[in-house]
Amino acid sequence: MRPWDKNLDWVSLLLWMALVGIGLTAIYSATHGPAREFLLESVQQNFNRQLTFFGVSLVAMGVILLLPARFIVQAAPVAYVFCLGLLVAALAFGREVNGAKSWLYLGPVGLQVAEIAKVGTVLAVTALLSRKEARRGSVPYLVGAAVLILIPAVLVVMQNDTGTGLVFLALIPIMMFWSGAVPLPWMALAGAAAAAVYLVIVNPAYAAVFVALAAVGMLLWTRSKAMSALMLVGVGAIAIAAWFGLFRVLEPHQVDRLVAFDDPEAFRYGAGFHVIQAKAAIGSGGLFGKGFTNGTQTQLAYIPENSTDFIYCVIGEEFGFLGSMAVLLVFAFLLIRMAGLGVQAGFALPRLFIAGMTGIFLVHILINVGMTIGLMPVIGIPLPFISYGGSALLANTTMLAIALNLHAKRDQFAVYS
Amino acid sequence: MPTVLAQTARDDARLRYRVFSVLVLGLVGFLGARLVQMQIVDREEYATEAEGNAIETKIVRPARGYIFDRNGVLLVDNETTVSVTVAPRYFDEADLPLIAELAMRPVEEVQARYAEITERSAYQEDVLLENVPFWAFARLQENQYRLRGINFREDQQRRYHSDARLTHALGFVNEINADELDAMREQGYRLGDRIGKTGIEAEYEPVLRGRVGREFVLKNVHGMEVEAYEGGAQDVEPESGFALTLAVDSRVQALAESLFVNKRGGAVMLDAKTGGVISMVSAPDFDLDIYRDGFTQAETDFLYRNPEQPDFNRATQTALPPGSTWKPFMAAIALQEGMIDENTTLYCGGGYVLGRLYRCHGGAHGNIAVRDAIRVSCNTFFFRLMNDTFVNEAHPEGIRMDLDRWGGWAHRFGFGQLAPIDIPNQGTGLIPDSAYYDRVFPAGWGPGYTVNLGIGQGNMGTSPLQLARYTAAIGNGGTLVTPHLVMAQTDPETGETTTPARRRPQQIPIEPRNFQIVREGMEAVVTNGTARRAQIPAAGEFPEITVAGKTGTAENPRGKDHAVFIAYAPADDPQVAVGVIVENAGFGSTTAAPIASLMIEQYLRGRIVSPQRNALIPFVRAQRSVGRI
Repeated sequence: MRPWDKNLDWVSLLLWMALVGIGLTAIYSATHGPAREFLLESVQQNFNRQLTFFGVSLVAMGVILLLPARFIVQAAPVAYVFCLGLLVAALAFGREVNGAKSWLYLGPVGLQVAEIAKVGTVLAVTALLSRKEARRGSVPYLVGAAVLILIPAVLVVMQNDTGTGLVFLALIPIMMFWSGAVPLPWMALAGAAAAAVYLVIVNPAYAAVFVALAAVGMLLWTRSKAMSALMLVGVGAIAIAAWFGLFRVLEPHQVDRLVAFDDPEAFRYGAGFHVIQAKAAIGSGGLFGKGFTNGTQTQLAYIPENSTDFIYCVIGEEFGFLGSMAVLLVFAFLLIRMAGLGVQAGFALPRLFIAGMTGIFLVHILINVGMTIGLMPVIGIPLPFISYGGSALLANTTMLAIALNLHAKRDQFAVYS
Repeated sequence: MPTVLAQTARDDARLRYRVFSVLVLGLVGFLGARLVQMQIVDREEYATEAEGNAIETKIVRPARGYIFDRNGVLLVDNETTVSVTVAPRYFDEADLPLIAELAMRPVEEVQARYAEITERSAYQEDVLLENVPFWAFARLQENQYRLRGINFREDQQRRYHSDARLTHALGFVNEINADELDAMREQGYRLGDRIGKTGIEAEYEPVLRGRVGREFVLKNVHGMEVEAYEGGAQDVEPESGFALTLAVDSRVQALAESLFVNKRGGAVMLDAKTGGVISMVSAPDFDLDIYRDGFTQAETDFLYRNPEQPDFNRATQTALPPGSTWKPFMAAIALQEGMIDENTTLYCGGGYVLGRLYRCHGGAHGNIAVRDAIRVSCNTFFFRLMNDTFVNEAHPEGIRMDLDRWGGWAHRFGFGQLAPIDIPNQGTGLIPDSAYYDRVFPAGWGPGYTVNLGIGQGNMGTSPLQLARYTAAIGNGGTLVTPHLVMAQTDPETGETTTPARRRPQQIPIEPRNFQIVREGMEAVVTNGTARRAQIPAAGEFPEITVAGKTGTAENPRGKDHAVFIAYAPADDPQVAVGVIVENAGFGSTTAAPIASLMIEQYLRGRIVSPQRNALIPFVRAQRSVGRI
């Protein structure tokens, strides 16, 4: 039995620090460059506060790594109930910011409880799905896991923070996928359905071609005519329903935020404005970028929320393709490495926890980066470790710390299970 | 079995790990491909969008060239004004009342102007409030942070200094209109620029304007300027326009304008040798200051709904018959054609019969030769020059002044055509030819229709400018000068002064001795003829100025006759030539001659010297143009 600190994955820790460092750099540029004078005084403090939260996160990382793995597992139900309590408290006593009642103030410190709730939710779902029954595909367990996710998701949506609510819902297929209970072809169907709806927004013709190709692919892969037909008819029906819903049933003003990303010029003075500005920022960065605090889009306030949701624009504009691609690669490296650690741990619980965590990160990255480069609708969710936001940084670091803990102390599970 | 199960589970996990890895790499590839497309392939496009956002090119307007009179008196310069501009793209209409309050303007007016701007373009920055006073500028600037899309533009407008209005000669400067913008966009004109519309301001626009400078500034999302782009390294300094020195004597001009009070008409005084325009009056005129700060309705009505048409340049656009001021012309060409010589006498029995009796004012002159015919303005003499056939040594077969011969000479004297003067807004006047008569009198016409042309009446039209130029030609012995308002243009950067290119003077093919005969007749007109009022006697240290001239009364079938006078002085060495037309003012000798003579004295002596002459000024001012044309 190796001591846990020998098992600790220092590479992941370094990647984590790199991401936080990139984030701090970008936040500094957004709040201490020429743009500063256009910012609210509270926003001007973002860099300092993020730095403070980084310190808090470091402490949290250390403390969590020192905890026994068993303690974390046993704490899961308590953490889950605690998180639900926070969500309810936010609904009851929370403060409304940007239309969402998602902030809970404890004295001077504001917490975005939905971010924190992710930790408890992933932990609880992991604990449930890692039971033998669930791994054997017990339906009640799987439904139970889904319910564990749905409850906080509904609470978050009730706070009027739809974007974060969607991230919770995305946990369902992610956890299903990693639990091993659902066969891969069925996961492929779900994935294809999501892709088809996306393509309907971009170009219905692409969606049609995609569904046809996916049906052929399914036939070649599974040799099952039934699965292939399901792909063609089922996913096709979903795509057609999405098309009707978005472009025929709902009024343009109801869906413009959802579809504007594909043709922002058509919504230039409405939902498309931020997309145009964000794309102009990143595109104009070129290969090397305009340099630290030299981005005109960033520094002249053309990018809204440029230390939080649109921070990727700051990186894209000031550090160019090299900078923005580097961020993506560091993320990819971290996610794949973490998933590998989960598999390497050899037990369901670490693997599933890491699966939930990486899944959440992946959804955040895809949507956040996607929206800044016009591939995704503008959904206000932050870029993990990089966007300004103390609660998110603390929550994400906590998840990472738990994952590293579970991996490093995997030997303790031999006794436990 | 548990091991097998575990083994299978482990394999399944590895498979899912691989699927997950491919998914992550696929998504990163998807996003990365988009980054390649945006940041490398289409970078230019996005850079243009970003620069279009952030970098604003500001036109820095150069100082428009100053204008001086011939003695270096400043006539026109500029004053700085501040205009408030609005960029509708960034502006919130709800801020209009605050702006109106800060600038203390009626909110309806500001709203109406804003509606006008947005109608023209929803994006283009345009002037919301023109020429705001400094206190309003200060108040608005203090509040600029909460007035998104509001900016300030320093501008210049013309400031007029002289007592002389010189309305029509200077012309006015005003905001460029859509048609002009279309035509002049390539020269770098933009919406909101001011350009010369008439007069010198229009003709010398390229010289006066100078070179536009450019400043590149960074502008934030609120439309506020933040700082100079690249520290101003790309900026281009404006270059001021050239200063113009006019041939105009502003004191003569001011006097002449004062003499035209309550009159309709025009006067032009030329330098008889060079053609420099010493004075150009058109009455009624108006103060060019009304173009400052935009128009009120009353001002618009005054300019454009006024039956007196103050924007019409009566010095250059009028086409009125010259009356008897035409007689020196007739005399000169008849002498040159050899129809008469200086001693040929023609008989005046008090009129000329051609179908009917054409009366000679002043009774029967008997046998009269050319000098006296000019002096007493004998109509019969000139009717005969126009219509009789002369048989003499030079023309044994006889010669008659037919219409085309007459018209050819008129054109050589600059009539019936535009003068090559350096302002627009001119009329050609009218010198009829047979085609004209065919058109106007389709039933047929004969000598009875054209005989009046011999005494400057009937179907012909001339302007004060044409009359002055013709008079200068008589005075200087046949040089048809090129009239010009601008003598010199000075580059303000280098101080280098140049003369604008102008057409060379023409020589009229009439022998000097024939002009001499005509000049003697015209001298007699003033010393001993119909225009004694034009005499400028010796006064104090000033010797007498001999004036040569000719009065005229243009018959007006629809109202009171027009008074006409031409003169040059000093008679022995003409410096100046004047043409004056006062509409509906009766005899030329009463109104027009004193105006010309006062202008001559003012120019040659620098002031009106004697008390008697000064007494003439209120006398002239008291006379009015009556009725309507």
